[in-house]
Amino acid sequence: MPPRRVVLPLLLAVLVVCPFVLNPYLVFVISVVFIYTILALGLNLLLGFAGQFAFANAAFFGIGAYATALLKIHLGVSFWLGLPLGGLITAAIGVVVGLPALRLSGLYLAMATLAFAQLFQWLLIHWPSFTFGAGGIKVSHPGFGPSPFGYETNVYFLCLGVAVLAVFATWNIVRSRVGRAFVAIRDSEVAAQALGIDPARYKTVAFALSAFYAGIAGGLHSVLLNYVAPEGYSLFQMVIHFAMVVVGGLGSVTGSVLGAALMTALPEVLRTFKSAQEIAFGAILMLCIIFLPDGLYGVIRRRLAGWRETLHRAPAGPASAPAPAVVTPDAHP
Amino acid sequence: MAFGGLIALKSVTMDVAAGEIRGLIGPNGAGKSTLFNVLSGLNRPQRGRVLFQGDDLLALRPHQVASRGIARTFQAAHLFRGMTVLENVMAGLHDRARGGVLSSALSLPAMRRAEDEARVRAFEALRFIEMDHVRDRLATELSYGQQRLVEIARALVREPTLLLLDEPAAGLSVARITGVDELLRRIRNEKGITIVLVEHVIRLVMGISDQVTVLNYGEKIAEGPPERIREDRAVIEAYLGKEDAGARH
Repeated sequence: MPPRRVVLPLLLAVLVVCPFVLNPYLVFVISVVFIYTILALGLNLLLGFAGQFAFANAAFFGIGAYATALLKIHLGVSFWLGLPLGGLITAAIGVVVGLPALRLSGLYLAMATLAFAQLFQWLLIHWPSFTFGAGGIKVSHPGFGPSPFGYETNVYFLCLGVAVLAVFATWNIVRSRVGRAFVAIRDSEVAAQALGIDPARYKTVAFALSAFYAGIAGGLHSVLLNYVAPEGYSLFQMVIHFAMVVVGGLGSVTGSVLGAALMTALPEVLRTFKSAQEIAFGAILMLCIIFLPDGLYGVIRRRLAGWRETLHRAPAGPASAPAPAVVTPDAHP
Repeated sequence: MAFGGLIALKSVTMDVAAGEIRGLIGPNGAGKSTLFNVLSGLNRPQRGRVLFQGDDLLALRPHQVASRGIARTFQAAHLFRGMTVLENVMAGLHDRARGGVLSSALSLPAMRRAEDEARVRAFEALRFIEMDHVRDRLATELSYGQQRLVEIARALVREPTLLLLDEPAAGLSVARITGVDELLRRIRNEKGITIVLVEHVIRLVMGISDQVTVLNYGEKIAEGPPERIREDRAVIEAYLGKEDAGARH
């Protein structure tokens, strides 16, 4: 049995118990991990799988948070509708931000998307009649209907549920023809074209998808903090997102989750270092990059046989028998 | 076809019949790869037409040309580094299946069936080139020659009408070149695929081509069956001028 089949249900069981045994501070921190997991998965689809070097993820995170909050304030849209709407709005903006990617690549694309992220920051601060400016917005608690738990526990389970959905959706996408198209345009655009893959289409899809993830994460973030403000979605946030996917492992679902957990936990643990906190954080990042060039996922792949994320392994077990790809290698001359 | 002031191809006319194996030879820089790039839509010439089954391909983008039934390989193998061998070949079936982000994310039954089918067909394509034993290896773990063969399988899985092969024998040992010879014949005879072949191993080209076209400095200098090309004065001069005479045998 692959180790995933054992580890994942166990992990999920532990996470379900957490809010009832841990103190509220830790419950909050783990909720942040869930939100960062969604962010890391989205950024990894764009950067790790599709190979698009874009710097707009923190801005997408902010757009989702602001969209959900502003839909409520300006139009009275409830959080439960505002969350998916915020994701879709962010995805639409993601498509527009991705347009330069059809012409630019590498550092030029990074610059173009960075300019967009800075423009977004500027708009948040200098358009107070719509965004309420630098002071930010207080976000009211959404109702959780018949749930018997407290507000923080409800938000925890909401974030957990969405993160689990995001993991499964990503896992399925990267194993599908869409995931192959992403990796194909990353590895060789001309070869992809020769196979009937339209690079423009899949770059756009990758931008929309990663923006959607970030938008949903932003909506969740707004109700976790009950507050949105421009500085929460700044360039520093972007650095954290990058660190998550690079330290976790580019092009890996497992890596996205591990990176999110590490990048959330590390600053909390390092609080004991007081003023040296940021230096220690930077030092650990550098050590990771030097000694784990393919991220935490690389360690898992080497140490745990059977965890390797093959994009499209043959279905295991006799249930889905028709695939001859499960025939052992030596069975053929 | 010109790049800035450099004219890479000039008034080249070539007519390939269905079911033919056409050899395309010429010294380095003759414009063979550029011609391939024009045929597959990667380079757009300033003048001229590319007719395929009666349609002009020049208005199409490269991926659309591919979907019309033209498959190709590259001079340097362009396998996807992050994929296994089997995944590489499955990627060749991209436009032969449907299903977008949503049906992928939900792993809908239709999507899974299409995946199973793609896996079966990719496996068969690998078996055709006798490379099915390496299907779960990463593409980068293969030798250069093996990578080139997998690239052919990735083109074949598309069941193209026309297959453009850019130096399939490059990087192969002498013993394996004989195998390529046989493989190309099987592709044409068993699958009925028309082949245009750029190759520097002249013996291979002369051995299997029905017709050979010779380019030099972007112009066609000779065309005809191999035995006539071998005797052609312009061809001999082009090669003797550029490379040592041994390249011809």
